[in-house]
Amino acid sequence: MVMREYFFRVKGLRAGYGGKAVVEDLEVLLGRGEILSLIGPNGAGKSTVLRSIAGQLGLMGGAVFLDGEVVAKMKGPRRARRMAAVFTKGPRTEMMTCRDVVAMGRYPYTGRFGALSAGDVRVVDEVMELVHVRDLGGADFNRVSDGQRQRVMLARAMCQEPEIVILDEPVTFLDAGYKLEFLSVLQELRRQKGLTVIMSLHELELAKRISDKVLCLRGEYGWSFGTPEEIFVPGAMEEVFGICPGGFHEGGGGMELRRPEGQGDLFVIAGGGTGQSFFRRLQREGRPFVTGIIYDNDLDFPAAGALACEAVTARAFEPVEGRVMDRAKWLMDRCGRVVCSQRAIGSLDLANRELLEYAKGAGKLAAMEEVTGSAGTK
Amino acid sequence: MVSDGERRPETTGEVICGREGEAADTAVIEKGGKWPFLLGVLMIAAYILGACGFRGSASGDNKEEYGREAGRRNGEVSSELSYTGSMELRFATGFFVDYYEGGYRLIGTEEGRRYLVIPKGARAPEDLAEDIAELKQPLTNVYLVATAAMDMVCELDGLDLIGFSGQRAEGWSVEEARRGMEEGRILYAGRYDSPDYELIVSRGCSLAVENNMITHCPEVREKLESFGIPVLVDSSSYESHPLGRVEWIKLYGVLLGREEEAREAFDRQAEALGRVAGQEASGKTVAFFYITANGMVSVRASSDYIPAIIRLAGGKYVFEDLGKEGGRSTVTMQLEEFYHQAKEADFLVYNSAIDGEMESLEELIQREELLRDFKAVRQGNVWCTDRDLYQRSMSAGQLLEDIYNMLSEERDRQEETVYLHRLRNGEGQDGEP
Amino acid sequence: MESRRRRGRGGGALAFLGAGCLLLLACSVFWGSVLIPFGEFGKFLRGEGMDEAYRKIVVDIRLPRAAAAFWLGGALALSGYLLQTFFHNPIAGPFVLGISSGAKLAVALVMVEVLGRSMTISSGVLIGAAFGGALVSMGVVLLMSRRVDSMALLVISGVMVGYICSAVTDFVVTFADEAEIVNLHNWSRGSFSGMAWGHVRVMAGVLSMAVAAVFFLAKPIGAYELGEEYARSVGVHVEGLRVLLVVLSSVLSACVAAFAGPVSFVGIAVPQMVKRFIGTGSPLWMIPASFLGGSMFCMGCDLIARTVFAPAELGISTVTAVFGAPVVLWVMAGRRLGWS
Repeated sequence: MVMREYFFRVKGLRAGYGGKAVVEDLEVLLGRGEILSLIGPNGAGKSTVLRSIAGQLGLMGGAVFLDGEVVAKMKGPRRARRMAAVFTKGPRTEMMTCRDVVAMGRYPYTGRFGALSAGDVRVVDEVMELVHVRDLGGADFNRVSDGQRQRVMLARAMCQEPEIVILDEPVTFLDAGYKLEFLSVLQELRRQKGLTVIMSLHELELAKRISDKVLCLRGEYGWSFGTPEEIFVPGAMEEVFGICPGGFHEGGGGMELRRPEGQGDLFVIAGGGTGQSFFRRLQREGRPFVTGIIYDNDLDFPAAGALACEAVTARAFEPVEGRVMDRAKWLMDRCGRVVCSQRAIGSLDLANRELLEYAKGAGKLAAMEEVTGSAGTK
Repeated sequence: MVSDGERRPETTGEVICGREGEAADTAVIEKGGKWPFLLGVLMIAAYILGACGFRGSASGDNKEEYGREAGRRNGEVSSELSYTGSMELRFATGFFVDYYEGGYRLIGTEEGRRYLVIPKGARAPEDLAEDIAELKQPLTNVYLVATAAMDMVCELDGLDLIGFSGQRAEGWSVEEARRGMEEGRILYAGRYDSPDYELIVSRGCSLAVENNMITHCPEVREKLESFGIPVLVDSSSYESHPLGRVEWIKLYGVLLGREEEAREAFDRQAEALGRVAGQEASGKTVAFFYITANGMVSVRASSDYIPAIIRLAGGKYVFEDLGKEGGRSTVTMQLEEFYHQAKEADFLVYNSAIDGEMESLEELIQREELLRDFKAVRQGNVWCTDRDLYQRSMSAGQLLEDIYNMLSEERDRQEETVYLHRLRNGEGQDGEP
Repeated sequence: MESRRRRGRGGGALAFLGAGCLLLLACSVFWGSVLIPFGEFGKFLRGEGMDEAYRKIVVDIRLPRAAAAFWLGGALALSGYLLQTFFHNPIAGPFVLGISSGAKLAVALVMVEVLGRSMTISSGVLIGAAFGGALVSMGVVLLMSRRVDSMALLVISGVMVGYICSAVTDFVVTFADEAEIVNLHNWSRGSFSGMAWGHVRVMAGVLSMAVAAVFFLAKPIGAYELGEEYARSVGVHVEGLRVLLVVLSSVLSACVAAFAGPVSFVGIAVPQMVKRFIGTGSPLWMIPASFLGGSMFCMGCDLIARTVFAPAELGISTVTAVFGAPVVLWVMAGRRLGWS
């Protein structure tokens, strides 16, 4: 792990405002063309770190290296040719077209008075094509939509022909569609230009998917850096964000709301992914429930773990152990009602078939609609 | 590979970025050396402007030097002119006049400027000193701004030499002046600080007679002089002796070529002084004042000519040693100060120049309730000046007599006053409490 | 951003403004309180020379006054443009940083302390004092700008400096003669009367340097339009630019205050009008256009001020307010309607 091998490096960074540090001794290593996401709770210092890296804020300690060169020692124009930035909110402008704004990115290359040469114009055209904003060229910058505006700002940044782009929560104010669109553009840029990206994100789901590396700031100077697999380990996000256990599932379930209080009087036979929405409806009604038998590879598994007061689980692709079965039956005995979210239990799912018969035998089986307050849809 | 950063007491020691606490502004990107260049530009600009200021500024020191002696030395005027004597001035200190052979007159004013009056038909000397302005008689189209001068010019019957005035027709209480303007013989040429140069230049003008206000707008004077129009500042209002003011008529007599008439007019006013001078001082106290727009009281400085007249008339001005610093003629004071000093004054005289004449005590008390307590008000000895008194620069002698008569407290005498009138009190009868 | 159409419109606008200035210059020469028959001008053009008095009027009265209005009007508009860009605020004006109050204080001091003691001075002293007072105000605001990060606070410092100067001026004036009070009041109304070629030379010298300096800053000012963060990210030294903007706009306004007193509205209204006229906010166009627009506006207003009620003169600020205030209102209305 020699410095030279890495394209972008942060070493021992201490960053903060007005004498107060928010992060200390930060270490980051990035290769060329990698995408790094910064995540963490509000106030942990994501913006501070980004701004320090981008040269907007002075470093309190440590150093940032770009391809071996110390960033703080680079003069403004030189740095601008290698590093560009996009901030959360687009600027308010007067009488500027989108093309004008994009062309601003050529600042480090234009002459004394900022006039664009033919070469500059070509770059602007190419970039606008690349970022899919070419058709917006003549529109007033203030009149375009938020998503378009952020892309225009990205285009502007790309006009600086940077090797690395720093983005501060670039998609926070965009709707779902624009979020995805923006991130795909970033990926394309990475593919076509070998662009290295550092950005902060609130959207953990997106961070998981797009990042090559993740830097998680925990607040109180704590931080972790690694690949998404290393960072998004079970329980990690709950710890970082102070979510109650089960509230976040790194494996793919995402976030769940708080478990209903109390002892469950209702037993739900779920599985095959059919139980999730029913669990959530119960959660909305504040009704505690029990569920089983859920296999650990089932789609209902994360929601069950988060929302049921008890979930009886079993290993996938293995015969269900007797004691597990007993536990399920015992729980069922203590419940007044039983529902089943599956229309038809699969022929190989012997355990749940048995449970269903057991419920019928006890006369406790009910339809889902009868049990819930609101008229449900299956 | 995962790195986990926890709070560590020591860093690893290689602080590459630089010194500890290389503060927040190290994100600095170097900028070219524009700063020093621009600061230099500023300095130079400020210096240029300042330098313009001191080019040829006549300083106050000249006042001492100008004295009669200075003007007299032939070498300082012209070798062609021979000095024959100086005008005798009994009271005025603001100007001098030196006589030269052939009818030439050298006028010098308090600020150190000099003017050579060249008689009709004569020519200007070749080697006239640089600073002396030429005034060829007869003067034409004089631009008259100093209101005090108008009265004197009219007294000397010289109105036809005046071409422009700094006031509109309605602004003149001097009858002939107003008529002259209404009939179009004298044109309004704009206010003193923004004269209509075009008008003045198009008709030609041989002299501008300004008052002290012009010193606050030096660019006006400079502009007039750039057109070859000499500017003479009438500072008669700064004369401390009342007759000193009046004596300025002699200067106008020289300008207009009516020296004899000027002398006679002056003597007439001076006679009043003679009539009054020998009498016993009555020792009555007098206050001369008016109430300003924001409720303060404006009184005369003790060295001003009105208190001088009061003293000459045998009265006593209530304020002693007021306004010594700075040569001001009026002093603004707070009501309580005035109350404290003037409450027991025997006579109050209200200066109507600014807000107009009053007729009754009620009007005065409405102005300021507190005045009700004043001794003079209770006894009905409150007087008011006539509005146009301030334009009547020749009036000093008459005013002297008026005040003398007022102080005499003899009914018939008091009715003879010209520029003063007593305020009626509520009962309709003059002065009866 | 130099698309051919943009260049065409900008160029056309500049040509129009330039022609407008020339036209107003001609009007200023032809018109005045004294009627000069056209025949005289014909004589001049034929080389026969004009009547002496008329020549003096044109060359020594009308021309220097028009030249002063040209230079000072341009300076006001350019200063207003710089401050509006700097504060990202359309109603910032050239005197928002307390410049005119500093100048007025200096003039008051000179009038009371020097002239009140019956000393005489030349016009240059008053001008120099006003300029100096203005620069002192600027200096105080600059000092504050080092400690203050937000733009709003900077405006507040400027306004406070203005209030402090006014308070001190009132204090000084309390002990003054009526003459000084009247004269100070007249000074602060602003006027182009009495301009001489000497004045014009000095102001042209100082202002041309300042305008050239602003021109050299056109590129970073353009970057600044996107906000400080983006400007910094693109390599602009923002702290230095701030100082330069304050200094240059102050020198421009100080010049105006020094020679003509505080003239209002030109600096606020003209940049807004011009921006809509040329259709872009790009500094390369706005700088010359603001200057020429301000010159035109000021020359026109001064012409009106000195001819409509001749020989009396209307205060220049009165005329500029009559034409300028509606523009400011219109701009405000336009912005409200045009924005979401």
